[in-house]
Amino acid sequence: MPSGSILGNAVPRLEDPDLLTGAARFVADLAPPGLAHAAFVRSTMAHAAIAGIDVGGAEQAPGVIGAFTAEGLGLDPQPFFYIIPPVFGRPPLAAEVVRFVGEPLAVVVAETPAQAADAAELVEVDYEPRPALIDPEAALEPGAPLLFPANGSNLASEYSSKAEPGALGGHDLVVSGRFVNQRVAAAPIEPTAVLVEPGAGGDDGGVTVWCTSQTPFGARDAVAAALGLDPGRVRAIAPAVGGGFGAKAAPYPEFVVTAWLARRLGRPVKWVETRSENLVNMVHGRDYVQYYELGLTRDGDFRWLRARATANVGAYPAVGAFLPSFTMSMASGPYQIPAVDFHASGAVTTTTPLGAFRGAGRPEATAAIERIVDLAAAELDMDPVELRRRNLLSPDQFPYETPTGAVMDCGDYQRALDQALETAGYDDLRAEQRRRRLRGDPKLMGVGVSVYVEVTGGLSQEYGSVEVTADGTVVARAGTSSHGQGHATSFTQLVGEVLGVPPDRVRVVHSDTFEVPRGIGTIASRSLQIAGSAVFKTAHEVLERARRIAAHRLEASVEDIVTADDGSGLTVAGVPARAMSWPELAAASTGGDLPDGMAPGELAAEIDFDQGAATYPFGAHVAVVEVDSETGDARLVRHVAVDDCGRILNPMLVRGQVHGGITQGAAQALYEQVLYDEDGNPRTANFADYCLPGPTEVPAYETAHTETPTPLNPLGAKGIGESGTIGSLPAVQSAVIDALSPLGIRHLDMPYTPEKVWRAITESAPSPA
Amino acid sequence: MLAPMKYAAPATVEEARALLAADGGARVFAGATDLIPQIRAGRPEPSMMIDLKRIDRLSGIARAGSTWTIGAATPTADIVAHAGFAAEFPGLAEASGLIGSDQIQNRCTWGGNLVNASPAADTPPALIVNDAKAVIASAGGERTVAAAEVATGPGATCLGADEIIVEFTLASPPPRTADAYLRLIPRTEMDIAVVGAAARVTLAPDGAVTAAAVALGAVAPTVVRVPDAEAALIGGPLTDDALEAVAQAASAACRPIDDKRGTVAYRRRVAGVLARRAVAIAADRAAADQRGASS
Ligand SMILES: Cc1cc2nc3c(=O)[nH]c(=O)nc-3n(C[C@H](O)[C@H](O)[C@H](O)COP(=O)(O)OP(=O)(O)OC[C@H]3O[C@@H](n4cnc5c(N)ncnc54)[C@H](O)[C@@H]3O)c2cc1C
Repeated sequence: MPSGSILGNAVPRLEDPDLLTGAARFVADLAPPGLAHAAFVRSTMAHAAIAGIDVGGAEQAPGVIGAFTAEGLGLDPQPFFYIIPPVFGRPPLAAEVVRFVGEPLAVVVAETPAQAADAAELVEVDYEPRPALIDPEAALEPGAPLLFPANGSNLASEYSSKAEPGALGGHDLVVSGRFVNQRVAAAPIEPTAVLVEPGAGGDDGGVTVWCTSQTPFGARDAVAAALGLDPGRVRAIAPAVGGGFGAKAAPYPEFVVTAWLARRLGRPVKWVETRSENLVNMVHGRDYVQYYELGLTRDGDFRWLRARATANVGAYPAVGAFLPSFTMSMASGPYQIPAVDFHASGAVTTTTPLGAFRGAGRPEATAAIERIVDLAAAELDMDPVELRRRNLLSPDQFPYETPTGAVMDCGDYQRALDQALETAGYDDLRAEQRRRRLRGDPKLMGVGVSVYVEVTGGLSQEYGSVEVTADGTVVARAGTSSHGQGHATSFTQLVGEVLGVPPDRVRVVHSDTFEVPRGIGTIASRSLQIAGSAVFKTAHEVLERARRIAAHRLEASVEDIVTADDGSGLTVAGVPARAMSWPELAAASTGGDLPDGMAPGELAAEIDFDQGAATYPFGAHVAVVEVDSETGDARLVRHVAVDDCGRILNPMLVRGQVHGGITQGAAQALYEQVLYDEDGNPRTANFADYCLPGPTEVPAYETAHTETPTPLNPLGAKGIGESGTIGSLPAVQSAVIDALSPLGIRHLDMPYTPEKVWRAITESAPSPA
Repeated sequence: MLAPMKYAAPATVEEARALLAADGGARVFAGATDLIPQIRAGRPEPSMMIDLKRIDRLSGIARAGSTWTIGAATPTADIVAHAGFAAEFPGLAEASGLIGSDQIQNRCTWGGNLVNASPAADTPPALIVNDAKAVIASAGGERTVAAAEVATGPGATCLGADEIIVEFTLASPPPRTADAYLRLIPRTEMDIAVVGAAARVTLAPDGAVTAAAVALGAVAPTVVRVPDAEAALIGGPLTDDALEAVAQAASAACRPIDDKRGTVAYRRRVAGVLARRAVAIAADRAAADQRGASS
């Protein structure tokens, strides 16, 4: 970046003052006049036919405005994600069958939230129980009870990439393992919420939908499709949103039902999920069973990989049913593996639907390949770092097409690994470990190393625009939708970089389908690289138009026109007195006296920027754990992360993403797991039972970056939102197993709860110490 | 759902007891950190909530001679922060400081912790090894009951319907005496004990154990005292063998259940480990106790 650039600076977040003082408004904070409150009645059975629902008692309860079931709604089943086959359509309220505990089957609207919740308890549901189905592998066995009989099986999705016949050879040995990547909850601090007001802009027949969404355009389309409205009549707004992690990527049935209610009742209606509702109603993540086999030579050269995976996609296939495609494309990780044979199935079960959760398909791929590489290292009695080094792709191999079809833009994996090992003091750690093992330290020390590559920005197009308004304010619009990431800060930096304007002269507009013409949203770590590039490019277009206008009016050559140091407009280089302010330039742009060939028009530009392909961030993590050998209590004591997300725009925002990401990956390794009993009842529907860690469970992280700019966009940026999670989980997992390795333990499925680790220790030792 | 309910804030113990006696559906509360979550989770709503925090006698920490008196509604944050008290009862202060988080500790109390009678509660084992007494206001006046006698089973206590714990009394420990409390939870805070272990040890100048108490939480319907561990310690120095005997005795004394927080086998094992470690910590503290140096 040029010197004097603000790109690369840790600019404090413009969003924070409002968030810290409580001025930011979340959906739950909004209370338009006449507001009514909805409460949903949810299935208490994992799988049952609905024999009857009696809302009579609820209708008579104090303050109740109405109580409705699927019959009253008359809404068709919806796909809720565009690629889902119609046979799996989900009725916004369960109509004939309930398929998971927590599925909404009736709704009550009342004057207060308490009245709605109390009345919802009076709704009586008559169930005819059907068998629950929890295990995805069992769900695919012949004879398993079917969730969607019309589909003929419980298979919801299938992805495969076959190796050439005979390609799985040339090895001296094969290591294999079965790995469970357990189900986890996204658990954003703000649960799902929606407020729908009748009317949109001046259109009384439309609706305005305030919702907790990463993709307001997706919410708009879902509501429009369900209500039979033109999307232009639905205004979807995501106000301040308290985290999503992918689980707010797709719209929820409650959005559609609440919109229907607002139109039916002619008043604004709001619904805010409780925490316990959130833990059964919001999509879960991961939940794969994986069988991996790696063929390699005795020297440690990888020859082939055979991977089989079954994803538990839950009761209604959603985004999660499609994520095995990411797992497939990333199956070989950062390694050169000549042949890969991959097959994944997604099975429906009577559990909460599976969605995207930070990493979405890539952590599953990375955890599995890193695990099998560790098993291979143990088998060869080779240092796991050494085995990785032998097989990492080298920088001159890019662009590199993997055997499963990913085309990776660029990377220098060795460099990231070297830096991570150096920061961690890897050799010293191993020496300390040897000393502690020799003296029989009851605290078992473990060191884990991961190298990862992931994929971001695959949906490669996004809307962005920049406009200089009459008063000189620069408005940047983007089709993405920040929900904690700090896009207003980054996009303001980009505009400031190009036009030289200070942050308080920039307004970033997003998350409102009436203020932004189109967009996809904030998913797959795509926002800065694609929407940011759109803003950056259009800012340049605006600058060029403004420079030509200024050159013409100031009678100078275009080359001599530069941005004013004080941010006020443009000047002739070296002659600050010869200047035009941004308001003057905006006015001139629409006026008559323009350079030859320039048509009058706003001082603005818009673009649907398309970077054409995905980018591939990568990195290396080192985790150090201590396991109390007497209680099995495992603690993360150090974590070093070197992540490469291409060029860094704002290191503070990147650090925030990395820290949160590391924590969510480490949390899956050590703490979190969504559990069901055999009847399909959730066992982890509150934070006493669902072990979400807090800041005291993790150490201060040591983070660093290499910067390998991508050639695919003008910023050189790749995504960083998910890398931390993808890189940390395998490192922490490996560290725990490394701690236990002197006992002969080579694999243990996550999470490493004290009792699970204690059991492994006890069962490995001839007599428990 | 929590709807508006009747609330009373009496100024005296007598008023509070009268309100309780007049309305069978009324409940007293101190921090309400157990009561409110229980109501939200579907327990019947009291017809009246009687706030004990406005009664002067129920809040405060005082020492008169060798007796400490702690109001039953004193927030544990105050107890943790009371340097004089924490110096004499480091383990009890530790247990008090483990409850929930800072926010919870600004509200929650020993009275509530004990009367809620969760088998996994953190302060009861530490109260019991220190031989704390509960002063209970009853119809006929006041009675004093050992902390160990208050809980009679999960959620059950020896209190009559209109009885209130007013305060706790504790004797200042003799020289070269100290306590300790340890618990195992999967997280580092905001979690419910899988096992808790409290110990108190008194050492003679030569290092021999002259008195010992060991109590375990979350391994039986109520707190378990471990007399065999105490017997194994008393009379001799704190050897590895003695500590191992403590562990064995603690494991043997458990009557745990399998639940989602831990299995029987695991709880037994961890009870032994934590009891041994708590005894060792208490003994280290007792050995370092300056009050004993001159005697
Ligand atoms: C987030 C969270 C974390 C927690 N973590 C822990 C933990 O780590 N360890 C732990 O042990 N507990 C924990 N708890 C439980 C709770 O905080 C403790 O049990 C606390 O000590 C209860 O005190 P309280 O004053 O809030 O009780 P309250 O809720 O006010 O009362 C509890 C019960 O005792 C009765 N009661 C209260 N005071 C008296 C009195 N003086 N006389 C007669 N009856 C009385 C009430 O009627 C009620 O039945 C946690 C709770 C929450 C919400």
